[in-house]
Amino acid sequence: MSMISIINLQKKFGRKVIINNLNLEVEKGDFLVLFGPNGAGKTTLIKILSTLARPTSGNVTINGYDMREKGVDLRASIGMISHNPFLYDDLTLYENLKFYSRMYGLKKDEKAIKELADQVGLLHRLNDSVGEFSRGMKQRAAVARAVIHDPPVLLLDEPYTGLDYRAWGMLSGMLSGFHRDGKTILLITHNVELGHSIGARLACLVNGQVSFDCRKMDVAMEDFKIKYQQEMEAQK
Amino acid sequence: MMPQAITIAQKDIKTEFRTREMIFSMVVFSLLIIMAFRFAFEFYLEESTAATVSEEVLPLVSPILWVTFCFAGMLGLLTSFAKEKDRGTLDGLMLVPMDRSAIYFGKVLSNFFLILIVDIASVVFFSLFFAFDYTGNAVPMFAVILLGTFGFVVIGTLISSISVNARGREVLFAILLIPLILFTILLPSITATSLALEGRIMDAQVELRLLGAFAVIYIALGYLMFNFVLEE
Repeated sequence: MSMISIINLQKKFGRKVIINNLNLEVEKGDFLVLFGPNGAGKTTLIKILSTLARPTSGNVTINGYDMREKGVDLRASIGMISHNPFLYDDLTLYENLKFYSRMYGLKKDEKAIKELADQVGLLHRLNDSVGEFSRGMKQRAAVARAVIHDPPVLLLDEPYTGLDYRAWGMLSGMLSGFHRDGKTILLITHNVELGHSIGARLACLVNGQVSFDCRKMDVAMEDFKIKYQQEMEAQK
Repeated sequence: MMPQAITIAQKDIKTEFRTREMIFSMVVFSLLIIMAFRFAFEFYLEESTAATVSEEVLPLVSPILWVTFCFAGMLGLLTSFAKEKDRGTLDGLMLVPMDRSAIYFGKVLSNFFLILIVDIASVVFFSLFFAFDYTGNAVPMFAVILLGTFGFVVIGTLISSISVNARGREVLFAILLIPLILFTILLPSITATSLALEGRIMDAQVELRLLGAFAVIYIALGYLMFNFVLEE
């Protein structure tokens, strides 16, 4: 069953074509890592998938919900993590999670929020302002925010930006856990080694189109690096 | 939609009272505007032949108060979406599975609450600097202020959301907002407040109806437009 379905997607800013008739299917429970150089259209694609941006033409379906007709249901099916945690620095972690829980129409009590904070290793900082958190802690808090409604699909846009080695490892561990739990994950990055180590399926986005798509087991890291270099040269 | 709007308003008010970023600026700005008017009208007040201080100040109250409400309020309205945008939390709100006009209504509620505080502070400042006594007409005056401020916030919040993605958003906000509120909110509010202070609130029915009608029109505009305003 296809969890994410992208059909003839096109996005233009003025005359500039950012995404060019993109077609992509992601099966339920799959972990797709989409690589691409700067300007390839990765972030624009994630924004369209999460309904933060409107496509020029084409369509997207996530968990069976058409983005044009069922945008609200589609958003209920996704959790998004980007380099920005979408959290309020002036509120504590508890207040942030309580806020998003109420926004998602969930009736999470203090115990449920504590459990969520515990899952991301931040129970001891629950009553501290998010503004006091390190970058790695903010990103873990962002994971808690993104999965607060237990979405079947996770969209990740460069979530490792600015993380130190330890935070990097913790985030990778959490993502692997979500994958084991059956969530469908689409991770966007330009870090080949990271993507190859964590993903199950690898694809390259070049000039707004998928130019290379394979299962991780079919390509060794070094071969994939060479292939990716070639694709980047093609964009130039 | 309304539970989410109330949640957003509560969050905004809580963060504002915790940081006091905007409320402090708005109150200080309103104080400065009233002080500037006090010095500007010094000569007029000295030359006045009215029997009491309140009588000589009466024609000035309403215009000065409404200019103060608008300029001080614009500070808060401008930052209402800009803060969310600059801190990256606007996308977090837009990801929530709800009709996005809940964000607009949440912001209207919190802005209305915060600007009302500024209105009250301005009324007090005016009373102090101009030695004006509102006694007797305070209730109808506050009723007009409530209605006028609501209309101002409803359209101001929408314009704030429209200008948030623009490069020169501060200028665009003022250029779009002032012409829109001038004849629909500001002038009717000034007239109605003056009549209320003269004890003739019943003569302000046209102005009050105009304020009510434009508040409804602007709410409908906000509801219909908001979903398209923030998307890229």
